[in-house]
Amino acid sequence: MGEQRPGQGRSSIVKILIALSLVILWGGMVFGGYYFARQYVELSIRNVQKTNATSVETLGGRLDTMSAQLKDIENTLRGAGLTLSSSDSTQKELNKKIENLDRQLQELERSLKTLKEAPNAAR
Amino acid sequence: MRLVNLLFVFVLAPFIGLGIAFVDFELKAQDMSLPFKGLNASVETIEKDSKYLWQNVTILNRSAVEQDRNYKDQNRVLGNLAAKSQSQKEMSDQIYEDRILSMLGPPIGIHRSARVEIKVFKLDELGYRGYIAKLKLFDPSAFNVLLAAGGLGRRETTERAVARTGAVLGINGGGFYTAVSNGVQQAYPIGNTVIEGKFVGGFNPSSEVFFSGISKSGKFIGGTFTDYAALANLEPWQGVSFLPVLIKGGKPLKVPGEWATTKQPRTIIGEYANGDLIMIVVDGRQSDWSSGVTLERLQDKLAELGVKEGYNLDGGGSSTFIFKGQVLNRPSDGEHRPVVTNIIIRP
Repeated sequence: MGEQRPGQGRSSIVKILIALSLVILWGGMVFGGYYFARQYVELSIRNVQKTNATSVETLGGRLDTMSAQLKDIENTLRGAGLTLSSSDSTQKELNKKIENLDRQLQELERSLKTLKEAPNAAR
Repeated sequence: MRLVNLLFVFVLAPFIGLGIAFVDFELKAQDMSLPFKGLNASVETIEKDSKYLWQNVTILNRSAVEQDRNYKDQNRVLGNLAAKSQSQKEMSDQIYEDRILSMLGPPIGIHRSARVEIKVFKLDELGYRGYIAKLKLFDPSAFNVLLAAGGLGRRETTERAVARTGAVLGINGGGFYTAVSNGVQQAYPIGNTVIEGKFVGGFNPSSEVFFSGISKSGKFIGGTFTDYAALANLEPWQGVSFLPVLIKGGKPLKVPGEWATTKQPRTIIGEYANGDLIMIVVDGRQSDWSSGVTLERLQDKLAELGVKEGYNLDGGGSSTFIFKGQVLNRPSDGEHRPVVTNIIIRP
């Protein structure tokens, strides 16, 4: 068993402190790397998400506009359909009235011919 | 110290690797972006198409509304025209009616019902007198030709025929002849007599003896018929025969000389241009009342009255005019002569 020299115990403590400092430094660097990497990844993903969200929102807005326009088209077409249906019945009525007028004009013509044959009142 | 440096190099190695790995991570992360580019192009196309469709639909709708408005305008214009045309026709009819009535003078009797309108006028001319009935037939069932009660071969006075049917107006009908059969005198109508669409005794063609009556629709039929189909096509419903035709199409026809110049009691049936019927009975053979009228003078009178069709029915002692149960004329025999056919108008 050798005799412990003075200062030999102090050197061991310094070594242990150095080793401990190194471990702490290493741990700090690992955490720093982790933190940096995480921030970087999250930022990148957030940027993409933000871009996607903006695009989806824009697209959604355009689709809403289109949907409203299609609704308008549908309403307008329904209105046009009703108008055309009404026009159809009006046209049928019109045809009937034309036939009726034709008949009435023929009757008027006959009546006027008859009137031409009327006796002269001034005797 | 060298060992420590070495240790650091080893310790830093993973971080260096991480650093290298993250060099273009941001760019690579862009790959996670949704493929909006293609989608945007498609949406733009749909938007364009949708806009185009909207424009077209708007044009279509506008056209439909315009067309509808035009139709409605035309409808209104046609309605107005129809109303005007109707009112013009009514005015024209009324003027014609007024002209006829002004020629006939004030009526001495009127009967109006849903079936018929009858106006009776007095005929008082130089040398002859009589009665005129102007009829508007709304329902052809009001006009009837009657055989005598007891059927074909028998005779009956107009007064009796009117009384048994409750008719409002009655005149004697077509000509007839008598024949003795099995010692019994029988009487038969000459020419064609039609009652409710059936020819009494069949069809008898003639170019002289006319047929006059009404069709099933109430239209006046008159003329001579040598062909059954020609008469049948007119759908005769009620009618009698005699001769001659006096006025056709408003023009007097030539009548046989003997008929033309002899003054006799007369019974006439005819039609005005507006479809109204006219029945005339002229008294005769009574110098203190009425000497009768020649057919020529009667033709002139009919033309003057504006009659379009005029047919001479059985006259002489047969001529009888009954309105509302009263015999208005004075039959020349001094009593009522029974005849084979009578024309009556139901109320």
